[in-house]
Order: sequence, then structure tokens, then C-alpha cells
Amino acid sequence: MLIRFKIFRYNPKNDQKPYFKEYVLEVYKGMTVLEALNEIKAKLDSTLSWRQSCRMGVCGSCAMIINGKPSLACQTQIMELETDEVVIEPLKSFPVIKDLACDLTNLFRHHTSIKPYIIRDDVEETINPDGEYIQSSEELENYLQFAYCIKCGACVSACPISQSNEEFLGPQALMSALRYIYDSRDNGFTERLAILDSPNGCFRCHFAQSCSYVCPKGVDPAKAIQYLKREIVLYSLGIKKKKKTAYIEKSKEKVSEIPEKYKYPEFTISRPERRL
Amino acid sequence: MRDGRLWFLHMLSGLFLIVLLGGHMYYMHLSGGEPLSVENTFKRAKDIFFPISYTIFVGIALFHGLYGLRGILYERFHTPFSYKLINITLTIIGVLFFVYALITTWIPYFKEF
Repeated sequence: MLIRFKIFRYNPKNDQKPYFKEYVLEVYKGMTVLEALNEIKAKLDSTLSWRQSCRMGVCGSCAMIINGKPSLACQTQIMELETDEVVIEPLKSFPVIKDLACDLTNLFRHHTSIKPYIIRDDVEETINPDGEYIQSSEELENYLQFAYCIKCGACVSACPISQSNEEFLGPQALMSALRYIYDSRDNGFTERLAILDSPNGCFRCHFAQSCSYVCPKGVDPAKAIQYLKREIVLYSLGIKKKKKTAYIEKSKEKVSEIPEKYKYPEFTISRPERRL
Repeated sequence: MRDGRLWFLHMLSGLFLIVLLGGHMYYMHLSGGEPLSVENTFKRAKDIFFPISYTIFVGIALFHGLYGLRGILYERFHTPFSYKLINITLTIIGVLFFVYALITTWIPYFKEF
């Protein structure tokens, strides 16, 4: 079956403005948009650029807008689109580097701003752990859904607030914040509050839910943001229940030296000093 | 005040507005009679219930509306300076309208006709 691909082309170095270029390609059942792009690059136009890596919906590199919907090119089968014309554009809300590859710096800037790691009160234990954080399966279920995020940026691209205000944290970062807040091993709620409860935090969300609609991993960022709002409001009213944090099961025998068989090989590059 | 608390008040004021607007709708438009006649207007102005409920109504409505406007403006202008400017301007507008509403509500209550 012949399908016409209308692909967004723009090279900021050479082009005055973006334009669409058309390619016609024979597609087969099961062929994904990513495979079609590879075929176009191999046979029709070697100058076409995009970002890809795993080809199986794990890395999130190939997120792009396919027929108006932010999706992963590797997970979108052309036949399932049920159209003879496929329009492919780069993600919105991000500056284009070239063609379909865009600069996700802003996504990761917001992601790092919410401190996406376990924060503990017991700093000594964090630096020199001597045991294991015990977490029940129920406690894991609390945040598991939100841990499936692959940071592809599809949700941010679909978010109407992120499109008008690039300083808005966006669904990805806000959902990641909740993922850590709901983690029983974490005590960092108050530390993250300053950014989450700021003018560009979760209260700018209008609950359009387009983030949840487009998420290729089935995560529900819109729901996470509403939970986050609830957590913050309860905290600011002083009625938030104190979180039971995971306890640490100390090792029965203190391991002073790592047994030979568990030792990792020497680093081939200089190891950066461990910082708190 | 942090955004979380303001947002909560926005939700709460929305809830109160439904009740108060429902009361207003019933009293002014559905209960029959002539609520807008001069006689009834003066009667209401002298009944302490009405100035108090008007004061609460206008306060809640102003907060709810101006917080909504603040959200829209925050999306359009997003620098720390513009946030400060928006907050100050809207607070001044809110206070001015509230004072004006107090005057128009309470003067008829105290004034002899």
C-alpha cells in the first residue's frame, strides 16, 4: 500500500522558515512510523533528521507529532492510523534543532528542578547506607504507575499551558515530583514544596488532561497533578497526615569490605568525587 | 501567600458562590413579587441580613474573579517582576471595589430616609 508522508523540514542554519516535504512510500502491515522514516532516509532523502534509539518504546527518543497527536514513532503502526497521508511534525513546546529533532533541555531542566531522587532526613544513612529500605508491595503500588514515565516529552508537547508558558513545570516534572512524594522511602516533600507551590508549579494546571491522553506509556500525569494539588493543599492547611517512611533493615553483619567476587572492575576514566 | 492556599480559597469561594448565587436567583428572580420595587429595595437595605450577605457575596465574588484573572495574566506574563506587578495591581483593584461595595451596601443601612 502506498502512503504519502508529509514531513516537517526545518534547518535553522539554512532555512528561512519551516516547510513540509512529501515522500511516497510502500508500507506493509506492522510497519511503524519509525521504520518508515528509516526507509525514507535510506532510499529517498538522506538529509532527514530525527532522534531515535531503542526502537521499542523504552527510551522515549522518537516522540514526535504524528497526524496531530504526540506519539512515539516506534510504537505507531502506519496501518493503524487508517489514513493514506501521514503528517509528521516535531514536538511542540520545544525548539527545533533540525527537522523532527527538538531540543529537550527545558524538559530536563524542569525535571531536575523537582529533585527527582530519594531525599532522606537521615543524611548519614544516605551517604553511607548500611541496610536496605523496606517497602511493601502496597507502598510500591502507590507510585508505580508514575514511575513508568520515559521522559519522551509527549505530555509537555500536548499541554496547552506548557505551550504558552515555558516556565511552567509541565506534566512530566509534576508527575515525577508526585512519584517521589508517594515513595515511602522519601522525606523530601517540604524540600520540593518551594518549586511545586510556586507561580509556575502545579496550580497553573487547568486539568485539560491532554497529557494523559497522549502518554505512550499509559501514565496519567493529569491525575498525578490533582493528587499533588491535594497533597499541597492539605499540607498548607496543616491537616496532611504524617507520612510513614520506610524503615531500614540493618545488615546483621556489617560488611566492612566488599567480597572479591562482588567487586567491580577499576574505572577506565577518573571517577568524580562523591558529592552530597 | 503560597499558591496552594490561594487555589484552595478559589475552590471554596466557587462553592460559596454557587450557594449565594442560588439564593440570589431564588430571591430576585424566582420567588415572585416585586423585589426591584423601591419599597422592597429600602426594606432590604434596612434588614441587617442583607448588608451582611451582600458584603460576604461581594468579597467572595471579587476574590474568585480576580484570582481567575490572575491565573490568566500569569500565563501571559511570566517573569517574577510581572507576577509581583499583577499581584499588587489586582490586590489594589480588589480592595477598591470592596470598599466601594461596602459604601453602597452599608450607607443605606445607617442612613435615615
